[in-house]
This record gives sequence, structure tokens and C-alpha cells, in this order.
Amino acid sequence: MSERARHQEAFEAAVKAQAGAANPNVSAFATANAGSGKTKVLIDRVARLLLRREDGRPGAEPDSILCVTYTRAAANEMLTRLFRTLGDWAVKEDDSLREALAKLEGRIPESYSRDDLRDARRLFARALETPGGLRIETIHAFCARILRRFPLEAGVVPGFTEMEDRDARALWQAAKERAILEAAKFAPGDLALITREAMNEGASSALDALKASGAAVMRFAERHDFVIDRMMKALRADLGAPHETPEEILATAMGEALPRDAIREALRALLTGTTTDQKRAEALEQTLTAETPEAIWAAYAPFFLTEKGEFRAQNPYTKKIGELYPLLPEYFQITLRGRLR
Amino acid sequence: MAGDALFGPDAPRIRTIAPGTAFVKELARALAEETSLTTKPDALADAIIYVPNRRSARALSLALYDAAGEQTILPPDIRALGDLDSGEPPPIAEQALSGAVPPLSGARQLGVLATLVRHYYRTAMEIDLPPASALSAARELGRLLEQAAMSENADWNRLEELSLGDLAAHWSRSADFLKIVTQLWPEWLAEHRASDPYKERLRAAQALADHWQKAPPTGPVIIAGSTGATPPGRILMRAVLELPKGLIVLPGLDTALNEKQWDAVIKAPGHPQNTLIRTLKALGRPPQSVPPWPGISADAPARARVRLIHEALAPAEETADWRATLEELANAGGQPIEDFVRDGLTGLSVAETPNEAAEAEAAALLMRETLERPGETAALVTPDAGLARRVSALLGRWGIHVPPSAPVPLGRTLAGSLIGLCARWAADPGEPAVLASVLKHPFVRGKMDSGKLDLYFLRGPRRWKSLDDLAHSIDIRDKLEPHSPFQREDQDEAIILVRRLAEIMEEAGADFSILEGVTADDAAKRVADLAGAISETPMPWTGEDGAGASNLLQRLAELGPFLGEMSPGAFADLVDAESATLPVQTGDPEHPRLSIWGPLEARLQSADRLILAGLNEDVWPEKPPADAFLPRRFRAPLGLNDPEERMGLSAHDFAQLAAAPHVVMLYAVRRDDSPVVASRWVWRLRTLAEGAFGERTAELLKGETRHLLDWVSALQKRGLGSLPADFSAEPKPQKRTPEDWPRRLSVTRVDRLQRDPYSIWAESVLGLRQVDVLGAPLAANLRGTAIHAALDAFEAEGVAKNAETLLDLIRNELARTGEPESSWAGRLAIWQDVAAWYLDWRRERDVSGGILREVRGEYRSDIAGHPFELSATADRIERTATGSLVIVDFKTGLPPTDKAIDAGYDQQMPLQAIIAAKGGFQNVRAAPVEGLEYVSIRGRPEARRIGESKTSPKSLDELIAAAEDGYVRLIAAYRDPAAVYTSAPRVQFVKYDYGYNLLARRAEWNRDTPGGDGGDE
Repeated sequence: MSERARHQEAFEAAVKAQAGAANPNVSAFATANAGSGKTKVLIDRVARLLLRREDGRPGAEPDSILCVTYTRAAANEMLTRLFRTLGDWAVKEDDSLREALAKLEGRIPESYSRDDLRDARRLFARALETPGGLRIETIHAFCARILRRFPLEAGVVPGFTEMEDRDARALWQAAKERAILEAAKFAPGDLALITREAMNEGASSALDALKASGAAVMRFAERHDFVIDRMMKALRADLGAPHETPEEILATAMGEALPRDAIREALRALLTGTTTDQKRAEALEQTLTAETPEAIWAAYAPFFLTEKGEFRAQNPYTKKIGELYPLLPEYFQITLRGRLR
Repeated sequence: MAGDALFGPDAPRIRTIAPGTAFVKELARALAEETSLTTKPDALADAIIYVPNRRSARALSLALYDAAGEQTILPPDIRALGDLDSGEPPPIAEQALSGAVPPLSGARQLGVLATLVRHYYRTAMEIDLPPASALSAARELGRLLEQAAMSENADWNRLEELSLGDLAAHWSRSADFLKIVTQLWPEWLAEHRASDPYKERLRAAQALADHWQKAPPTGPVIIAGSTGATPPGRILMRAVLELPKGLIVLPGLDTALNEKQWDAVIKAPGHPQNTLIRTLKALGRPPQSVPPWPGISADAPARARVRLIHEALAPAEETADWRATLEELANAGGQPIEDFVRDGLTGLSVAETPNEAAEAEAAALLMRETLERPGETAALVTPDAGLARRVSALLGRWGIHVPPSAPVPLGRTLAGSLIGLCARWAADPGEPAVLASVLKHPFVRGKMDSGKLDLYFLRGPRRWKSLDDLAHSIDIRDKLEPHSPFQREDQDEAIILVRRLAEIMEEAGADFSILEGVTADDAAKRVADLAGAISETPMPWTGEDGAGASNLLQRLAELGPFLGEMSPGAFADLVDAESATLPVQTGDPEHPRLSIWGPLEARLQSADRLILAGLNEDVWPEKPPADAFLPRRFRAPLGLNDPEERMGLSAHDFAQLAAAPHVVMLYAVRRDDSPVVASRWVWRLRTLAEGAFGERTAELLKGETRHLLDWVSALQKRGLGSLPADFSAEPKPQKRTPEDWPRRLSVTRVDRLQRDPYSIWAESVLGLRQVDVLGAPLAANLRGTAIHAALDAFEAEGVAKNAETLLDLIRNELARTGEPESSWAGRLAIWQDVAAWYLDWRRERDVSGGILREVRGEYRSDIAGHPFELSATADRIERTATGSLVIVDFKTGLPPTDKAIDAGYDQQMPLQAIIAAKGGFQNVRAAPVEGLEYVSIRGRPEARRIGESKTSPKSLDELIAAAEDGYVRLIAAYRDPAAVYTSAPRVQFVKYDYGYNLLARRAEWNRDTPGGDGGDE
């Protein structure tokens, strides 16, 4: 295939895909690069929605179509292009209008009746004069319009205005200050905790971290009637975290759950190994002699973890001895039991 | 007496003056001719003439005077009818005649509705509405009441019968709320024997009509220029038709409509003729029966224009046959379609401008050009107040004063803004930004000299609450800033001023910060006293804006009893909200030949050249307000007028103006930096023209504006205040002579010379320093200074060396600097950790050779042939047992890494080592430096010595040697006359704004700064 033919084929495929996405009878999700004709698809789709259907059904009312864009620039660009298309139809001669419509809808030109054409010509003025304006707008404008129109249902105060960023920042600042002063009075321990967590900017920056997720946090709190214990319980359940405190977990793990027998056997095995293994055996012995859970953990942890608390790259036994005593890999192998879990 | 053609028994009672004609002038001309006004100056003395508004009334009396040959006449009684949207009350005469109880004032009605709204919110939703919100809802309901009163068939009873379908659940709540207007409000009126101001207008009109029926005026009664949009207007029109000499003159009625088109227009509320046709229908007259005003003959292009505009604005249903209609019209005149359209476009041009700035410039140029032609007049018509102001300012550049004549909201006038500021000030008299604004207000400036108060004492963190605290804070300010730029007398003057302000506040009883709540009536009185006391007498109560301000205070006084107690802040919000809704006619002197009108002012007016600007959707026509509480589709079933009718009135304004012989239409492609859509009327006109001219339309529509945009861009590129083509805002200062250059820098400034050379230039050579923001939060460097001071004080002799004492010192120092309580509470845990850690740290020190704190030092040497002095203040210098030195630097920020120091940045510590090694520190004998220690005083405090960690690339001695070498080379490099002091040349350091990034205008030439040229959204 020649290059030209390949381009031609790709072009036709793109046009076909655009037409498919502009077909109002199907739902479509279009994603494409900038400049590849997404806006054209949207405008074609709106235009086709407005047109009388092939089976004679009337087209959609202009005020029943909603297009939401992210920027005002995009919304106004779309409006202008739609008006241009429809305006073009309004003053086209019959034959060329038939052709334009046929190309848009993938129908044959002869299938358009005179009434279809009159209807298409009227769309320009009808779209321009949609009561309240054609609903091609930004997501912000859309939300503001809905809230303004239904203040009672939305529970917003009538006559509200959207807040400027600067005012929002000032309000957030004031709210934080109030919360901090409250906390200083009623929950100084918790305040100290988040202050230390946040470090230099203190509690204020800890609260900043909540700002973006404020609504979600509030919803979560609301679901649990603002009872902190219930929230903690739900959080634990969601995270699959145990109910015990870290101290309790440590006490169990280093107490009744510690596989002392296995450790004793491992000790014996290691003692038969290289010098490295024997040194490890000495260290391991301390887990059996230490008295507090913290001390046992301090002796036990280095077998698996580095100083920084990460898993070691190597197993705490040499390869040969590991092969000799399957118990060692069973209990101490890092690659399989630690890292991968 | 009046001639027979207009007032004779068989003369038509309704006439129309075609669009494109100077309405008022023609009206006056024919009236004068008919009544021989030139010879009988009293011929119209017994006439009553109704015109839409006061401005047209004034225009008519002038026109009559002109028409009478510029001689004194006994003028007719010219009354303003009060147009829809004009906000003008009905004339007093009708009110007196109605004989009913005087209607409620607008403010009291608003107050009652607001009370009902608040009651609803409290009971139904458990929300306590702030007064400004309640008033906003009340205003919305008031509008509904007005619309109902202005709709002839409104019937609230039908609310119950509405078929709701899927909206039922939502609607029940709204319906409940609307009971305020359908039940509670009428009940309240009945109970208080009061009458609805809107209904009162109807009653007044009816009373007048009845009166006329009983005792018909013998003189002419004329209603001119009204479209009959309001029921009171129509009542009067009906009555006038029955009078012996009654006459109605409609503006721009299209008499060529046939029966079928008539129906189509009635179904299209957005059509320019819609209101007129409905009015005629109500009066029982078909449009064809209305003859034109006598003595007006239109030439072919004028007729073609009217037809063209009319066709362009045809009802949507009719546009299916646009092309065919165009051909018919052309054939009727025996013309080819192209000629017909070209005729219609003669004298009309449409210019697309790139943005609102170019649009304003284009309008100003057109107006300026008009002045070149003797006697010619021009008017700019736009609903965009910003554009109007802009054009006015651009004309001012040529010494031409043309004030926009559209009313401005009271809040934007001098008197109005002073009231708003005073209300805000009363809520918190010590608030620095508000206080500064009050003192800078033009009315206040003349009376009070604010001296250095703002510059030196109001800025930075707020360290006071009340005005008394402020006076005290000024008094001790010199202790806080040892190297302060102000003198003692500056402080004393500022204190006197603040005390005086406090007295005024006290006398007016306007310090609301000490009150729990205020009532609007009482607060308004006090704020008025306050505003009067601080401003030059007799300000602010003179002039139109002064009258507006009095009006505002009057309204607040009336509203007060309905709103109850509110917080002082809510009262200030209320003042702002109210003054945003009160229009003020500024009454600046008008230019004899140029005018700037809003569409309402432009009604019935004319000028030789009309410039219609702001022809963008949502500007002209304006976006209709969101119909809160009552969805659009419920309006028709309730008999309320379609909100689109206002669109129709607006379209009528446009059609009238667009038919003028000489008209230029302007619209922008972008506004506020975002693409915008051209006005629907421009779209229609252009599209229709395209039907005839295809691609050549654009060129044709440009008309006389073909070169206008070239002029605009030439003016913008090369005119006054324009910039050269190769202009860059990036500053590249070079020193001219070594004398320009500072011969002394501190170690930290040496570092800055690398990071941001421009800041050194601006500070040391230009001598500029950034002024703090009013009420700014405590800056990090001030907090650092406070911590240093606390540590220093802690080490003084006689201070108990325990954590509590240190914590207290830190707290006191921070508070003195302006740290608010919440900031302290939010960092308390950190300071506790810091205090404990510091005590441990100091205990471990080897200070057998003694310690010195805050030691100043300097070191002079010749660099590139000139002496240079390096200075430093060391936080702490310790002499160890071996006699060598350890220099300690406390840092509240992040100390630099060894890597950064090795890379040549953050050289202040090695440079201090050089000074120490040379014996440059006061009272410190030269000795080898054993350690340079950074102590971070922050969350997780720690101490770290430079060049001692395992990862350090160089040893301490190597780093010090490298620093000395680098320092000499750096200073030498900037002594080269060719060196350029650029602004933050290395992008990674831009975030350290030393306070000169704004001065360097980084945002204009660099993309790294917030607010910079970052491209599209």
C-alpha cells in the first residue's frame, strides 16, 4: 500500500470514528489527542440531536441538551462553532443543505424532505434564542446555576455568591485557628500529637493536610455520628487492622506467639553452620533470655529488618545450612515470607 | 389650539415613529408644527405628555424649545411613565389621586418579606439566615410579586393545581416557601392595613383613568415612546384612547406585519415587536391600522435598513424561509437580492475586536473622530458599565470629558464607599486594612493626615486588638525593631492620630466590636455619625452620591426593626449588599456632542453616529437572572409573564438603535481573557447577510470600520505609553562605576548575591525595601528573630536555666513579635520539645574558654583593587579547652546540607569562620576554628557540624578554604563593570523570594512565578 493510500485509509477511519461518536442514538465515550477533533464530535452530536430524526420524530428541544466543559474558553468556543454550523444551514440552498445534512448524519441526500430542511434552517434562530441560553457551560457555571435555582432544595442561603480563592483561604485560616484554640483547651494531648507529627508549621499544617479531603472526612464522621471510637473501629475494619494497641500486639507476638521451640531448634542448626551463622545464633539466643517484649523484639527484629526498619536483602542464615535444615527457611526466609507478603 | 391632523375628531389615536428616526426630535417637530408653537408659545400649555423616563422627559422639553425656534414657551406637563426596569416610581400626581392608604416603602416591604423568609428558614430548615441572605431572598420574592403585579393574568391560586409529575417531591417544599408571597404577605398587608407598592401602581393608574373618564382633560394627552410593557402603562393607554385629544405614539412599530406574522410574533416573547403587538392587541387595534407620524419621509436605504433589521430579528419559526423572504423583499423593490442587502447595510458597520481593551479603544477613536466634523454628535450605547468607564477614560486621554450616564451602584461612589468602609471599620476598629482604607478615602484624606501610620505601624502581623492597643503598640515599636526606619516623632504623631480616631469612634458610639450585636437602625445612625465626623464637612452628604448615601441610611433605618439583632460583621455585609442595589445617577456635566448611554438612557434618543458596543451574549442581551424559587416552566401556568419578554424589550432597543442612519456595532472575541460569543443579534444579522453575499459578507459588514482596527492596534503598539517592540520587563541592571556598588556586605547577603543578584542591587543600590502586607501572618524570618532573642535572653546571667523559663521566654518574644495565640497553641508541643532539647544540648558544650553571644564581626580586604568589607553577626561563639573556636548558628528554617555548601551556596558559616580566623569578631582573639555548628530549633531539633558527617564531600578546613576563594572570585566578578545583576538566574532558587521578585516583574517575563505567563487555563 502506498503511503498516500495508507494516509487516506487512516483519515477515513478517523472520520468514521468521529461520526460514530456523534451518533446520538448511542452513548459514547471519546478520548483523543488535542486537535484531533473532539470538539467537532461534540458539535456534530449536538447538531444531530437537534435535527429531526429520519423516522420523522422531532429533534430535541435546545434547552434539553446539556454540554459541560471544564473551561469557559471551551464552552464559548463550542457555542461559536455550533452557531456557525447552524447559521450556515439557515441560509443554504436546498441542495447544498441536503448534502451537508447527509454528510453529517450518514444518510442519503434525497431522504430529506422539504419540511426536514425547513426544520434544520430554523435551528439557528431557535438555538440562539433558547430560553435561558443554550446549556453549553462550564462545570462551575452548571453547578452555580443549579444551586441558584434551587436554593431551598440545596440548602444554600439565597443570594449566595461563589467565594474568591483569597476569601476562602482567609476563612480556612480562621477556622483552623478556632479549631486549634478549642483543641488547646479541650484536647491538649491530641493537639500535641498532631503538632509533633506535622513538625515545623505545627498543628496548622496538619489540618491543611485534611483540607482537600475535608468533605470525605466529614461524611465519614457523620456516618459514625461523630463518635471517635466508632470511627476508629470502622477505620480498623476498613484497613484490616487489628483492634489491639501496638503494645498489646508486641506483647502477644513476643510472648505467647513467639515460636520458642522453633527458635531453639534454629539455634542448634545455626551453631553447626559457618561463623556468620554461629554469630547469629548468639544473637538469637537473646530472644530467649530477654525479659520484656521490647527487649525480645530488639533482639529478634535485626534478623529480618535493617536499622531503618526495612526488610533485609539476605536471609539470616547461609544457603548451605538453610538446605540442611528446612526449618530455617520455614521460619526465617525473607524473600518469600517477608518481602512478598 | 392643536391642529386637526393630530388631534382632530377623526385623527388616528395611535401613531408610530419609525425606527431610525430621531424620536424625540420628530415628536417635538410635528407637535410644534401642528400647534403653531412658534407663534403661540402657550399652545401646549394645557397638554400632558407621558414619556418613559426622566431622561427622555428632559430631552423632550429641550426638543420642544428647539422646535419652537429656540424661544421661551409655556411648556406642557411632561411626566415620566416609569418604564419596566427603570426603577422609577409612578408620578406623585397619580399617587395622590388613588386616594388609598399610602403604599409601603420599598424598604419596609423588603423588611417584611425578609422577616417571613427568616421565619420560614428557621421553622422549616432550622437555619438562622444572616440578614443579607434573607434580604436577598426577600428581594427575589419582591421581584416575583412585582412580576405578578405586572402580569395581567397572574393567579397564585393556580399554584395548587400545577401538574408536577416528576418534580412533585421537590416542588412541595418550594410551594411551601412561596406561601410567603401567596398567603403570608397578603395577610400581613390586610392585618396592617397597608397596600402593596406594586399593586399601588396599578391602582394609581386606574384611579387616574377613572378620573379622566369623569372629567376628561380638554388639552392633548399624549403617551409617547412607551411600548406598553407594564399594566399601569396599558391602563393609561386605554384611557387616553377615549379622551377627546388623546394620542399614543409608539416607538418603532412594524406596520407591515400581516395577520400570520402577528401571531408568530406574539408566540415569540424574545421578538422586538412582541410587546408592542401585545399592547395593540390589548387595545384592540391591528398594527396595520397605525399610521406613521406625519412629516417623516424615509429614503430607500433607510427603508431597506428597517426591513433588513426586521428580517434579521424575525421569529425563529419564520426563519425557515429566510432566503425566500429576502428574495421576496428584494423583488418587491425590483432589486436583485444583493443590492437590497447592500442598501440595507449602508451606513451600518460591524467590527469584531480582539478583546474588550481594543473594543474600548475603537469606540473612543470613533467618538474622537466625530469631533473632527463640525457639529456632529456621537453616542456610545452599551450596557457594560466597565466598558463605558473604559471608553470615558480613554477619551480623557485627549482631554475630552464624557461621563457615562448610566447610574452606578451606590457602593461604587465616594459617599457610598465611605459608608461601607465605616460600617466595616466599626465592626473592628483596629483592623489594619480597613483602617488604612478609611484613612486613604478621598473624603477623609483632606481632613486627617495619616502621616507615617500606614507605612511604619499598620503593616505586618496585627499586634493589637483595639485602637488603644494600637497606640500602645506604636509606642513600643522601636524596641521591637532596633534598626527601625522611623523616628520618635513619627511614633508620637501616629499615636496622636490613633487616639483621635479612637475619640471620634467613641463619640459616635460606633465601636461595635465591644457589642454582642447591633440593630440596623441604630448601627446606621452611628455609622452615619462616624462617617460625618471623620470626613470633611459637609461631606459626605452633598451631591447625588451623598443623597444616595442618605437614602441608604434611611433604608437601613426602616429595615432595622424587621431584621433584629445581628453581628457587626453581618451589618457591614448588609450595608454592602444594600449599596450594591441602590443606583445613583452621578450627575457629572455632560459633553455637548458626545454621550455614553446605557440602553435604557438611549431609549428615544438619537445622535448622528451611534456606536453600539458590548454586543456579546450575556452582555447585550444581558443574561436573564436565575429564576430561583419558581421554575421557568411554572410561570406560564400561573399567568406570569414570560421572562423572555425582557429579552424582547432589549431586542426592541437594539432594533431601534440599529436602524439609525449611521451606526457602528462592536463586539469582542475575548473578554476577561477568555473567548466569548457574539450577540445573537449580530449572529442573525451576519447570517442573513451571508445568505446574500456568502463569503464576501465579512468584508461588507466591516463598512467604515475597515481601517478602524488598524488604527487601534497602531495606537496600542506605538501610541502613548506603548512599549518598544523588543521590550522585555526583565531587569538587567549594570553598575556604571565602582562607586555605585556597596563596599560592604554581610555573609548572608554574599550568599544572596549568588542566588538573586537583583535583590542586592535593589536593596543596596536603589535602597528599596519591601513593605509588609497589612495584617500579614507572622513571617518566618520574624519568628526566627524572636526565637534568637529568646535564646539570647535565656543565656543571660541570673536567668534560671530550666525548660519552663525558656518556654516562657519564647512565648513572650513571639507574642511581642505578633504571633497570634492560635499559632502559639498550634506549635506549643514543638516549643516544649525544643526547650527540653536545648537544655540537654547546652549542658554538653565544652565552653571552658568562655562563650560570647550575638557577636558582631567584620573583615576587610582588597578585592579587584578596591577595599571590601565582609560583616557578620555570629549567634554564639564558644572557645573550647584547647583554645580553638566553635561557631554556632541557630536556625529555625532548614540548615543547608554539606553538599550545598560544597557546591558554593550557603557560605555564611565558612565565611564566619574566615572572619573568626582573622580575629574579626569583637572580643574574640584570632584562633583556629574547630567547628561550625548548625543548631536547628524546630520540630525534631538537632545539632550538626559542617564537614564532619560520613557523607560530607570535604572536610571543614577544605570547605573554609573553598569559601574564601569563592568569595573573592564572586565579589571580583560583580566588580566587573559588565556584570549584570539579574533576578534569580537559577530557577531552583526562585522560591526564596527575598522580596524583590515583584519589583523584578518576574511574572511578566518568566514562567516560573505564580501569576506568570503560564499560557492558557
